[in-house]
Amino acid sequence: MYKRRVKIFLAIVVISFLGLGLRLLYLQGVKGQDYREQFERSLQHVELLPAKRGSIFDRTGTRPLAIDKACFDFCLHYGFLTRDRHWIRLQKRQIARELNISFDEAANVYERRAKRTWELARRIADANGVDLDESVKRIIRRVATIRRIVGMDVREQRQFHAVVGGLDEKLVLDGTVGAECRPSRKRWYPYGDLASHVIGFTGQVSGAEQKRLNIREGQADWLARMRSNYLGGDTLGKSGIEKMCEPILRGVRGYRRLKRVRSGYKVLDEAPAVHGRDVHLTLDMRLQKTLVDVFRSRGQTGSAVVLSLPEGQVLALVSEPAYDLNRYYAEFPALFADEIGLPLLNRAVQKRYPPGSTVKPIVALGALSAGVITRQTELHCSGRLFADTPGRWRCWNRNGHGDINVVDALKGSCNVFFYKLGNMMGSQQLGMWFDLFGFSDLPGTGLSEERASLVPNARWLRRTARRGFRPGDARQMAIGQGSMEVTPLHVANAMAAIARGGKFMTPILSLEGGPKRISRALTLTGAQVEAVHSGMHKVVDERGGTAYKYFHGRGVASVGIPICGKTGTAQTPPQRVDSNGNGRIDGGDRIVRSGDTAWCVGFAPYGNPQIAFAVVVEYVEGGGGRNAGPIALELIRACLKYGYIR
Amino acid sequence: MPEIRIHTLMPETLRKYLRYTSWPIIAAMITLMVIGVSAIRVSEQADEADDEGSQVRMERQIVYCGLGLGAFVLVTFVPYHRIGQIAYPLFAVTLCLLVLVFFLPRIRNSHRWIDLKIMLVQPSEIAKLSYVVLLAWYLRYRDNYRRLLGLLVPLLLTLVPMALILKEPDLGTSLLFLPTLFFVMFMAGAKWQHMLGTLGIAIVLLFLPVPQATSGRMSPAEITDRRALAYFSVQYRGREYLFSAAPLAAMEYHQIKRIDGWLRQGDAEVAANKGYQLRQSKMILGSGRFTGRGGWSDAETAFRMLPDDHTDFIFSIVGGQWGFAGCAAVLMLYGVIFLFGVEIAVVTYDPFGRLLAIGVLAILFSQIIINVGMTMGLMPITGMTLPLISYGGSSLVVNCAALGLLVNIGQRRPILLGKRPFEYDEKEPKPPAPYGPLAEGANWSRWRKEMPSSHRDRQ
Repeated sequence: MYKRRVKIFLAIVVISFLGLGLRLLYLQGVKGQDYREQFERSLQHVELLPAKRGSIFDRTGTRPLAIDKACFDFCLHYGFLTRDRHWIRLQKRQIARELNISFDEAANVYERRAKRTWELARRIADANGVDLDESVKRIIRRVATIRRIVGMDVREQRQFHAVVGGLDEKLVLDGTVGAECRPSRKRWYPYGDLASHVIGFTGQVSGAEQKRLNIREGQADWLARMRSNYLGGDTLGKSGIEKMCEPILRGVRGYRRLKRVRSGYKVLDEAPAVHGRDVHLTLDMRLQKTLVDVFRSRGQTGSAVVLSLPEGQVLALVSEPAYDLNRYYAEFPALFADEIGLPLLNRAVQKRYPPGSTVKPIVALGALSAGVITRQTELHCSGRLFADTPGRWRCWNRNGHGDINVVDALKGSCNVFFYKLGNMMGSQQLGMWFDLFGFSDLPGTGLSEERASLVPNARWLRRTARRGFRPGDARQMAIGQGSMEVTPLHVANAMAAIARGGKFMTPILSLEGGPKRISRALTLTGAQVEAVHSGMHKVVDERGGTAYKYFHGRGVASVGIPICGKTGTAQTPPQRVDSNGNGRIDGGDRIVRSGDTAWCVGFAPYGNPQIAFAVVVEYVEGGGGRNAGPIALELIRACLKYGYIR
Repeated sequence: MPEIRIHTLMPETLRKYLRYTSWPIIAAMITLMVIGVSAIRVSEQADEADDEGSQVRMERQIVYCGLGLGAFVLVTFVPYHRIGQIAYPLFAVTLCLLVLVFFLPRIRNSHRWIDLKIMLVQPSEIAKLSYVVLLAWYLRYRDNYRRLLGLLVPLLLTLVPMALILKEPDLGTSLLFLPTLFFVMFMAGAKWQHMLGTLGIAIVLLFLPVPQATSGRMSPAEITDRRALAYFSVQYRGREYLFSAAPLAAMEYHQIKRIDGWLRQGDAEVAANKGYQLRQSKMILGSGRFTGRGGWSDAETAFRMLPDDHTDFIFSIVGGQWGFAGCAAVLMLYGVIFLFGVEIAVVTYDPFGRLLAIGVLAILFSQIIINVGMTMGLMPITGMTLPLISYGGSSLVVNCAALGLLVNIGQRRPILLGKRPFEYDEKEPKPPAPYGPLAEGANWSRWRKEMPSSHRDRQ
């Protein structure tokens, strides 16, 4: 029996060994070639060479708005961040050797130094408004991503990684461990808070963005993915032009493929980084600065847009209040918490204001083109539309304008005239004209913040108010009130279309990278256009025009060129903050700002338009001309000064 | 000129001693040691120059080989019965050492080693051998283990060192005791029903679903991984209870990760993280193909990416450097040891010798299967050295001493008259037929003829 069991034991041994042998044959024979290739690949590794992000310039090409600037990064070693035992042991040995002490003593020294390093890191992070834990997590994620792409150990696991970037001075790192301060680049915005909404800021790529933007496995080989994909911790444009022109600005990383050899590394092949290309905006920073200064000196908030004609390039895009791009992350909590000033909002393209009387030139053009009226048609204004509703449908002029034609109706901004036009044209037709002037589409500069204006149409009404059009809607639309809301850029662009004599074009903000331009000619005759032009001209330059006082009044130095303009004073619901905390803004919430929205829009010079503009001032008392007019005047003065009007 | 014959110069005892020495085992052992030293040399080149201690490994291993051979020779000179006689004290001392490690400072975050300044001694390695000696000595003249209750004492003898080693913690070494016990009991003739029954219960226990509440102390990643390995989970009173196999519920998270890395080694994502060591091991092993890369090439630097390459994963280095040929040679050399070891176990009639020989073979066998299986992804990764090849003094010396015992048994083949031990037959043996004229069907005339004349005369 013993002998039989010995035989069984021997059989177990033999069978087990045969099993191991079979597995060996599988690993070394069947899959050996794969493993051999994998092995050869693991001897190589790829060093990534960062690409410089392109700069952003204004239209002159000499004034940089965003550049990569030299700075220092505070870096920690990957082994230190992950508390890798091998790395820590190595450090302890090194300390022991340097200080000539035993390993255990060195371990204590290491602990002290590590503690000091973490304290230093936390101090630096706090001083620069960086969340240290988040930063560390991001680095570890980044290395994990690289490892996943490469499929093996990577050099990044033996490298220092920037924990806090963008330090202006080199730090002294005595008595620390695993820390380094190395030169780096950061995004620098020489103009600070000027045109900050347009330029936009950059930030670390998020997981969702990586998922959305990165090339997936199988769509390109790993080297291509490594070069062009966003790795954790990569910078990308988060708003404005930085986001819009990201593909141009970013560039492609270079690489150097190295093979490990006994004595170090041998370069197998390499490709230089393709640096990001520069982007040129159509903005003129001098003009921009003048306008911003005007807003600030008057203590007003709002927006101003200047377009060149006939090209339709955006010369200035002001949104006040603004924020300093260089301090965006440091100040973010305060900026974000400012519910009243809303500094992060790009008012020129993002905020929708009731347009008020500024839509009247468009309505007039529509009516003329549709044949509802002619230039000579006179309608009667008695100060109110209906005799039996004294409180409603009134003209701002209580005495009424009497019998007036379209030119004078524009000059005097007669509400009753346009109520009647609204009645005659109906909501559908009015809406069609607003659509033709581009209000229902995005403005088309390519900024991701852009919003379409709100022109009520049947579907929208059904959805939000559960009703169809009523006659009152058309009258409201004709004077730019009711539910209609527009962005300043839309209005400025509509003015540009009127100035061009009915040629609509989407504006251009960036010479590179914007969307395809859309243009269309509206069915308008020269006489129709001329009627509106002259009405708008009279608004500014003829006594009795609603803006005359503010362009030619006492104490105002006239600019000496004929200007077409239109003022608007739009009744605006007050701005509220969610004070009762129910998650939405409703009637029970606290009012923080109230007043009218003041507009002054137009183009200049009359007869040979070279710029179109829109100025909007928020929450003010006293009408469009008084509040927005002086800003528009300064705007035109600046355009003259800088040669945009010759 | 008188003729000088070599054997006349030798004392009679030495001649006898050398005649029964199992030379193939010694040859295999020395060859394996040489392979081990070469493999360590390869792995050492892979390590970074600034990683102190790695550069002296080959020299140290050569010294350990010397010590091992010394231990081997020493053990063969002492009759193994003498060693058996001190089995209990030896085991007691070993247990003391196993307890002692807990009072010594931690080395590499565990209580495995005793620091003797010149080398680290690992008591669990010594425990392996002293346990086998004890088991063989305890079982040698008994047969109570042929009853179910009789299995209890050997099991207890096993569980004590196992528990201590598990606490160190050293899961791999402690797990080694169970297959060893199994094989020794099997060879000693424990009943099939008992063995298989116990095995069955062990397997059931191993896979028994045990509830474990997810707690806030676990990281989200840990909960995810545990959930992935659980059979199913139950929500009860707002808490989640995972039902997973009993050992998994008891395991620490780093062990869970290893198990996960082993079970899902085909998953690229898992292989790159949790199964990293295994993936590297397979890659290096497989890259050797049939004949290895041959020569000393820069490729050795790739071994840098295999942690523990000189100890637990030395077999991958062998496979990477010398390919299938090298691996097969190593396995065959072990085969030689098993073959001649089994021969010794068979020719020895001494019960202690038989069990000891089998015990030594069983412990070698378990180590080889677990270690080699682990480098090839057939077994989960546990800390386990490859006998005679892996770097490490304690392991090498103890394994040499174990082989010394084996050879020792072979050298002292006792000539016994009577029933050979443990050769129980399945059926109750018939009482021996009376020898002589009273025997059933006896042939008187033949008996007369065959009976020596002296007997006949006495009749």
